[in-house]
Order: sequence, then structure tokens, then C-alpha cells
Amino acid sequence: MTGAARAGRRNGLASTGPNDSIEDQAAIWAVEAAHGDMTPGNRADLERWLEADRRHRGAYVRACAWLRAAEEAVMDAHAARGPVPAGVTPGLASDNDNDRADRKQADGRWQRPALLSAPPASRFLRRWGRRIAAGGGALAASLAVLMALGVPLPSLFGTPPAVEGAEQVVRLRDGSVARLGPDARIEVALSDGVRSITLLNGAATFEVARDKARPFVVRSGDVYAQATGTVYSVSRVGDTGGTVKVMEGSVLVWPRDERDQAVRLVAGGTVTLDPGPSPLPAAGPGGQPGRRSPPPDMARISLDNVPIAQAALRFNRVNSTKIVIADPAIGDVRIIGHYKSNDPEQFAQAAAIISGGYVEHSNGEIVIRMK
Amino acid sequence: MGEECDKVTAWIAREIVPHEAAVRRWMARRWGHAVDIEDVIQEAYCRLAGLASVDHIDNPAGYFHRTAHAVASDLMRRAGIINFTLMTQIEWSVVMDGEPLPDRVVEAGQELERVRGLMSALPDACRRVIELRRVEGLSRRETAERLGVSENDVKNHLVRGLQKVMKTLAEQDARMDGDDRGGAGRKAERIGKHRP
Repeated sequence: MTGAARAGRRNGLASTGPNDSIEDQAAIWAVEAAHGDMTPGNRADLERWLEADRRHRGAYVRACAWLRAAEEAVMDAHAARGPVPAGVTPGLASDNDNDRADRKQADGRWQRPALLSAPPASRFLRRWGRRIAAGGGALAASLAVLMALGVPLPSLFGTPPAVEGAEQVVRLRDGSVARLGPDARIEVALSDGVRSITLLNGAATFEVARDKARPFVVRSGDVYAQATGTVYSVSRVGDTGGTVKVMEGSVLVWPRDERDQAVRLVAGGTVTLDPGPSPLPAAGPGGQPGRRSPPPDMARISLDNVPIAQAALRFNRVNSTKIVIADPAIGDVRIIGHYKSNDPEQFAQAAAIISGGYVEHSNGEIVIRMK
Repeated sequence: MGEECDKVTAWIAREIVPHEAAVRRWMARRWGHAVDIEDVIQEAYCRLAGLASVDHIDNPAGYFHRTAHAVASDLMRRAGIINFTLMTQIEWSVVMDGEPLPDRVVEAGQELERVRGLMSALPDACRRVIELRRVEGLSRRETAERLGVSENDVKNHLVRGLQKVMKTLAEQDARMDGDDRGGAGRKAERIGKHRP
């Protein structure tokens, strides 16, 4: 008789035996280890079972983990029904760390910003904010996991959720909070240099935790909205567009490759952009025709057959090192391509080659001259 | 198993278990019937438990996915399934999906349903035992007395509850797999409804 069968027989489980699935045996052992009498004899039985087959060990690890997860969920739910302290909304800095960007007057392409009152703060977050901030160790961590899964705790057991509508609160790993409307879907990718959120569907509101090193960028279709330490919402509009509303702080909004022409929205402001379908890329030299171009990242300037002089102006708007076109003949030459917006040198070198000029540096500026 | 194991088990319970369903779906789509998913999952857990430390792991979901992928590749190779085309397609589709894996993908309603389903799969008796043992901190004997059953029954409740919860998860995925075949090239890391 196997150890698991012995343990199961001791427990009076009717269906134990070597024919049980590994998963079932592992469940028996997991409970035995966590809640049973682990005498040296039992321990030896367990070790023997674990040694018998590597799958046993994996199943045991999994069963222990699931048991623990279930126990923590029950404990959290119990805590959720407990007395609630006076609500405290977790404070988030409302000043922001955006780069300087030129304020751009709305032109015919974009709708004019409208005044909006800020939406009421989530009662759910107020209810649990203090508990998460003050709570120590396992409880806070478990609550964080459940919050991250987007589950309003009181609703786990049938009591109606504290928030109106089907809003769902998700705490991101960096401390930011996303509140998803019904049908909302987001994709979160936090890396070393950027916190990148893609809004796949619906609408969501973001309370952005401050992190100077990592801009927080929400992408909706082909519209980008960047901020730190602010509260703003983004909604999908058609396939390529988005509506951005700012409640606190300020947000930079731009379409596709035009980060240098971003609009700065402040609290109370709304903008809706829909850049429309992107133009099909031409097949490059040696490139595969029909291959979709990679998604534009937020730090690119896209030049679509524009004069170099005009392109240089765009770089100069967002870089402290200025490009100077010394000869008008150079400025008139048209240029095509995607360039990193924070690398004027790279652009200047390319422009020089195309126009038959050369690059020199003087007075801290990049100068393009005719040969 | 001692202190170290306990720390890693705690991490697995908190950071890995919530992603198991997604990894199963991903495996079903990516590997289909080429591997036994149960074997892969168990081996993946085994490897995770073998980690000396988990402090360096920034993205547990991603780590779990990559571990499962490595396990599946190893299993196929070891089983002598030499199907170069299949392996190439599978490897290539991983590359095509790119990196980094999203930390978390959430769809309102769907995730709520999933966790609610999980908790409702937990039988009342089992939940009650956990409340008495972990919330009220009763001993095994006190728990048995409170419930009016034997200590063995207390353990049985837990075992059955745990078995049911784990099976419910696997069954849910099997049902979903029926709808999800043919998702080649789709970004598998996305959790949520697939729009037609």
C-alpha cells in the first residue's frame, strides 16, 4: 500500500489507492502535511512517495500552493466582512514629471477640450486603501493579489459590490491603480524604462504612481497618453482613436508617431483623437512586401517626404541641442523616415547624406552645411 | 521540507497559482496534444519549488510561462518526438509573440467570474474548516469538536475541497479549449474573451 493510500485510508477516504491520479494523492499529502500528524513515520512515507516519481513532487508542490491559496482567500474574505475603518483614499502625488512640451493650440483636426467634473472616487478603494496601507504581511499581500485579479472582495461571497456599475479595480505592480469599466480589457507591461499599458477595449481610469525613471504610457488604438503622478481616464474610440480625460495633474497626448506635437491636457480637460487608419508602408529594399510595420514607439518622429528644414524644426522643439540648417539648399531637400525624437544627431547625419551636405558642431549646436 | 521551502511555497501560492489557468490555456493552444499538459504543469511546479530564491524574479507570470515552455520542449525531446516542423513552428510562434510578457492582463467581468467560480467551487465544509483552523486558530481537535466530526473527517473535508478546487480549474480550461482551437499567431498572453 502506498503512503498516500495509507494516509487516505487513515483519513477514511473511500477512494484512495494506487489508481488515484497523482493529483489526488498529492492533495491528500498536502493536507496531511499542513493539518496532520507528521510523525517521522509519516515523513518517511511522504519522502518515499516524492522520490518515487518526479511528477509526484511537482503535484505535491502544486497541491500545497493551491491549499495555501485557498486558505488565504478564505482568510481574506473573512477579513473583508470585518469592521471597516473610516475611509482613507490612498494619497497620490498630483504634480507630474513630464518633459517640457510645447503647448499646441487645438486645430481643426482635434475637437476642443470640454470641461468635466471629476468622477467620484471609488468607494471600494477608500474602503480598502487604509487596510492595505496599514496591514502587514500576508493579509496585505493576499489582498493585493486579489485586487490585482480585479476582484472586489465583498462580492466574492455574494454581497453586492460597494461600487456602482461594473467597475473593477486593479492594483498594478508599480503601485498605480487601474479602474476598469464594463467590457474593459488592458494589457500591462512594466519594464525598466517605461510602464506601458495598452487599452484593448472599453474604458479605464488610471491613478498613476510616481516614478520619475519610468513614464506611464497608455495606448488606445493609435493614441498615446503619458503622465506620472496623475489621474486620468482613457476610452477606446473606433479602431485607432481614443478619448483622454484628466482629473488631476496633466497628461501628454499624441497620435502615432507625432510625440513632438503632443497636446498637454490639464485637470478638467478632455480630448478625443482619431488618427484614422495608418498609411500602408511601402516595401523597403530587401524587405518583404505586405509585412506590417512594427508598432511605433512613443519616442519617434515620422517624416513623410517633408523638407529637411521643416523636420529640423520638429526636432528642435523637443531637444535642447538645436539643429541649424546653414544652407537653404539643404533645407529644401525632402526626407522620409522614422527617427528617434531624442537623437537629433542621428537625424542630422541622415539629412546630410541625403542632401549632399555634412555635419559640424559649433556653439553646442548641430550644423548642416553644403559641401 | 523546511523554512526555505515554506518561503518559496508562499511565493508560489501568491504569485504563480493565479496564473495557472492562463498557462494551461496557452499550452493547449500552443502545444495542443503534443504534450500532456498535466505532466508539464507538475514538472513546472517542481522546477519552481527547486528555486533557491525567488527574490530576483520580477515577473512571476512570465517566469511561469517560460518554465512551462522549457518543460514542454524537454518532454518532447525526451519522448523522442522528432517532429522538426512542429518544433520549429512552436519555437517560432514564441519568438513572434515577442517579449516582455504582460505582467497582468485583466478583463472586467471575466476575471471576476473566474475567481468567484473558484471560491464557489470550494465546498462549504472545507471553507468552514479553514475558517476554524486559520481564522479562529483552533487546533485539529477543537475544530473536530466544534463541527461534531472526527479529526479524520476534518482532514477529509480539506482533501475533498482541495481536489475539487484544482479539478474545477482544469475542467474550466478543458471547456474553454474547445472554443479556442486555431489560435495560431494570436497573442497567447492575453487573458480574456476572444472577440470573433
